[in-house]
Formats: sequence, C-alpha cells, structure tokens
Amino acid sequence: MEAPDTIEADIKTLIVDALALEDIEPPAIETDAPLFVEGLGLDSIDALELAVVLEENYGVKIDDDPERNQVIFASVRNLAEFVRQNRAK
Amino acid sequence: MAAIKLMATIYRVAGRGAASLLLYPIAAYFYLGRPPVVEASLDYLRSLRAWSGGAVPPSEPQRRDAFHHIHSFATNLFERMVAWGGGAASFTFEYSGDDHLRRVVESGAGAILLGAHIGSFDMARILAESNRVPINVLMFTDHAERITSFFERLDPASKVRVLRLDPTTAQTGFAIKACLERGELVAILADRVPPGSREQVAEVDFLGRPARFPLSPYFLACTLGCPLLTSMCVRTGDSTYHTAVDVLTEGEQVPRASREARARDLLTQYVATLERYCRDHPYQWFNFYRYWG
Repeated sequence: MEAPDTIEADIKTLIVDALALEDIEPPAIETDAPLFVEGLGLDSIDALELAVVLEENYGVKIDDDPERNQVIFASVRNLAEFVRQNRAK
Repeated sequence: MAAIKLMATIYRVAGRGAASLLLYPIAAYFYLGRPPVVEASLDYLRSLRAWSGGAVPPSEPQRRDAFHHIHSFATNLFERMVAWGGGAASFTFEYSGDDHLRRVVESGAGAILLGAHIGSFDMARILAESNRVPINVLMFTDHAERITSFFERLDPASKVRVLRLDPTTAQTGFAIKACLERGELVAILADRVPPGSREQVAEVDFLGRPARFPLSPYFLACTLGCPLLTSMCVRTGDSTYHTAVDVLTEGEQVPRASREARARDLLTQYVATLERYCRDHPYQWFNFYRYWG
C-alpha cells in the first residue's frame, strides 16, 4: 500500500519535468491550487502534454469529456485521485 | 443572403449557366459597396507582385484586378453551393498526393490537415469523405452543432463534424486528441489568427511582409506526435478542382526543449506552401481584410 502522498509528489515532479517549468521545485506546487489559467498558468497545450505524460506513466486513459477533465485537471490533488482510481500500472 | 436565395432559385429554375451570370452583379455590389474589400485585394495583389519580382500579376494591379479577384471568390462560393446541393457529380476533381492521405487513414494514426482560405477547402472535404474517414473541422464558432447538422441534412452519410475552438479552456486540445486516437482527421484553416484568441502566434514573412500566424497546430502535432499534412484545393478550370496533399511531418513527438523551434520551422514550411499557391493561383487567396495588420 502506497502512502497516499506519493502520487501527489510524483505528479508534481512529472509536471515540472514534462513542462520544463524552470525555477519551480516540485514540492513548491500547492496540492490544491488550480493548475491552469490561474495558479501555474498552464495553457491548453500544456494540459495536453500533461495528459500524454500521465497516460504514459500510469496507463490511465484521458478522454474528451469536458466536465470530467475540468475536475481531473483542477489541481494536483484531483489528478492524483484520478490516477489512484484508474491506473493500470 | 437575399442574393444567395435568388441565385439558388435561378439555379433550380434556369440552371447553372444562368445563375452564374448573377455572379457579375454580386461581385459588382461588393466592388462598389465595400471599399475595404477592394483595398484588401489590391494590397494583397501588390504584395504578391513585389514578392514575385513583378511576375504575378504581370502588370501593376488595377481596380479591375480587384474586381476579378472578388468575382473569383463569388464563383467559388457559388460552386460550393452547387456541390453542397448534390451537384458534386458535375465537377471534375483531380488529386495529387492523396496517397499520403490514404496511407495515414489506413495506418489508423489520424492526422492534422492544414488548409487555408485559398481556393475551396470545402472541396478538399470530398477527398476525405471518399476515404470514408471522419473529418473534424476546427472552427471558431458558437454554432458548431448547427453547422454539423447542416452537413448531415445535405448528406445523411456525412462524415464532417465541426469542432468548436474555444480559446478559454483546454478542452479543444482534448477533443483533438480524442479524434486522432480514433484515427480521424482534424482540419484547421491555419492562415488566420482567431479573433480574441489567447493562443500563441508567430510573426513570419508572408509575401515579403511580416504577418501573424497561429502556432498551436504545430505545437499540437509535436506534442501528440501525429502526422501533419497540408491540403489545398484550387479551381484549375471550368468546373475542375485540384486537391494537393503534402506532408509537413510524418509525426514525431518533439522534446519540449526543441519544440518551439520545430513548430516555427513547420510554420515556415506552411507559409512557403501558401506563397507557392498565391503565385500559381493569384486570384484564389480569399482573405479580404487587412491581412498584414
């Protein structure tokens, strides 16, 4: 059984690595802060890239359901929750 | 709109030849009544002439050339209407490079198809439909569903869907990703920056003057690693259209560090394609506004 925090920490590292966010240390990303527009200010290509990286790393499948994606991508906490429930690896 | 309805009626009653005569008064209406349209046309033709070293058009553009340009646009719209109305059989469609498209469709990888407001992108749609693969046209519109159902009314087997480009959310990107994963085509007219959009744009020389182009199509292709093709359809003679498909990239995921450079490189290739079409088909460039800002 993984510690519940690990996926959050891993996702923060994925975000920083995948999106090459310079000057940001993964732990500095707030678990509950919005990722897009406000917060880290990521744009739609960033969201797509993050989706591709999450799919590769965890074997999850991210569809084009707008309401669901809005929830999934709202924060690191929600991303982690989604991964926990849907991961295939 | 009244002019279009009148033309549709004449077309039904008296046939295409009679209806096409109406294109002259319609073109004259825009020529006389919309000075900015004439100015935009002359601005474009002068740029093209300077860029081509005086070759195209061969003499200094005059107002009658702007009329010819507007008439060419009216003809295009009219023939598009005829084709929509089930008259596609009365046109001859020629293709080159359609083997690229067929290969992509058969591989199931999906592809992004870049068009432009040149000639008739709509006629290129017929090519995609003949491959029996859905084509999703990205449009900056609030009426995506209505436009999709318009195509379905014309042809119940229609494989055209309109994808709404919403610059305020990340949703458009996910919708495109889903289309490609189903092996479908995503068509983008990449020669205009949508009004009010926040997307990244780049300034590139087009016909010798800096113009703004969207960068997102290239970022999308580099992020998702999908093939990126250009598809241009021009009128090459009476009732004859030629569609050419070219490959910009076969599809590779580009690492983030080099992505912007790669995106700009692909954009430059796209703009070079536009310039080639403007030179070869000078009166089929259909952007009648201050293109260079």
